Amino acid sequence: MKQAFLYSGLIISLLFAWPSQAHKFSTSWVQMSSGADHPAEFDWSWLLAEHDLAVLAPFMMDNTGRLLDADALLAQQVPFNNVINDMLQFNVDCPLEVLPVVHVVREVYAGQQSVRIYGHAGCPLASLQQVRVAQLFDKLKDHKVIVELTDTAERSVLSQSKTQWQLAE
Amino acid sequence: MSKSTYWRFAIGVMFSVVCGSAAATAVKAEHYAELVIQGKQAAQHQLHEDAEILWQLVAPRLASLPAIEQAQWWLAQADLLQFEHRFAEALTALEQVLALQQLHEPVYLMQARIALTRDDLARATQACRALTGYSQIDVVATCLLEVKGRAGQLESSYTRLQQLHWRNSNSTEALQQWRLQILAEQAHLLGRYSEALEWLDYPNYFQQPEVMQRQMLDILLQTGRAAEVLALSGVCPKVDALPSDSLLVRVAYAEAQLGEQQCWREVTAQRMHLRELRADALHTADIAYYFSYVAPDGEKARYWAKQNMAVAQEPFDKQLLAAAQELAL
Repeated sequence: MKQAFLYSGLIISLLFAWPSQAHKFSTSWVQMSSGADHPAEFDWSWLLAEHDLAVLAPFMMDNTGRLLDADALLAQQVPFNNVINDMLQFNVDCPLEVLPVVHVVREVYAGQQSVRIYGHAGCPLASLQQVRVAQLFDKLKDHKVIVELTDTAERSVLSQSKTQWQLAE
Repeated sequence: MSKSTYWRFAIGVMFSVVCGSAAATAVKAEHYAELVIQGKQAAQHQLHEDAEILWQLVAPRLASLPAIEQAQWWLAQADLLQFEHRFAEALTALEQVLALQQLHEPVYLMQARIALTRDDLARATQACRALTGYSQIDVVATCLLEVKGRAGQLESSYTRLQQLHWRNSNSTEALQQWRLQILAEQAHLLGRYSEALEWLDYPNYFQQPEVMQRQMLDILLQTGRAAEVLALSGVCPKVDALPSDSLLVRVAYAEAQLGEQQCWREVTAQRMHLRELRADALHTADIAYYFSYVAPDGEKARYWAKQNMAVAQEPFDKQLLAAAQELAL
């Protein structure tokens, strides 16, 4: 009986092999722009699917997988800072600064409930030489991070096989 | 890993540890195959991660198992690989099964399937013929008639396939479904749209696998029934509940055809922008479709259609490339 199930399953699966259904993947988006009123810094934001953030920072979610409200988020400031600093880095002379956790906002992009995290970097955008994303590709299957300089529309796509964007010096 | 999956997986592992025997591994081979099969459904792709874990556990000692068990593992592994469009590796896995002199029927069927996806009709015919002696005659005939249809003899193969279908109404459900899907494809290619919708069981649209839903949407769009496509799709937006990209681009095309302004095209544009930037090698038919029909752009349509053809050369893929090339002229 079990054998019969196996073969009928296989036969059915053969029929539906072409062209195969979309695989599970996820994408996030880091955007950086020069700070118009604070030229010594630049601004960045990171748009992630909410369910991906739930994997990376479960302490920011309620038991339904939704971002905590602002009051509850306040208590998560320290681990939030740690997680973001572990995952996103610029060149050493360009320290990452994360806006307080209460500034994380929910928004919908491409049909997905997402969250956007905001921050600054302690150097002008012209001094940015390196963007490194780490520690999330092992946790999120087939994840890619699109990194974009919005002023010039320059982009790179980071993934498990390429975790760093080296900009021209 | 979901709770239920975790427990099924854990039970399989515990069983094999406790028994430590070939029988235990046989259980796991079946479990592996189930994970591969169930994981093909869009909502359960994570099961393929569980399957990968199982494979890593067993692969080093596979050669020590009895032939039938080895064959079961290799067959399911081939199925997973072909699902991921890793055809060369899938064929190598199938060769392992044949070398063990086991499970000839599913191996030859899978070889035929892969050959058809690659538009290699000679190999597909060879694989179908190899079924003789291992399969019932109607399985061999169905296999050969599908190849014949692809070879351009659509009218005659469609007629013979219908006869085969009516004569063998007591075939297994799996075989009937397979035949119905080939009948639908051939009717579609012949322009017999209402017959194709019947073969696809259009009244029960929501019960059908995604590949058949997509085909139904194509027929509806080709026959001026875009309003039905939108009706099937419900209200936009569906946050975190969008249809897969292959269905989404068709819904967006229906919206465009009707000149309506729901949010389907907007959401699809965002999805396709992400897909373009990700530049994955697989599933590029969705992007090619988008630039061929929803937001026409000849250059992009042709680029993505060619990327798609590098992976799959089924009739739909060829039509898509032709449409893209015409647009690019």
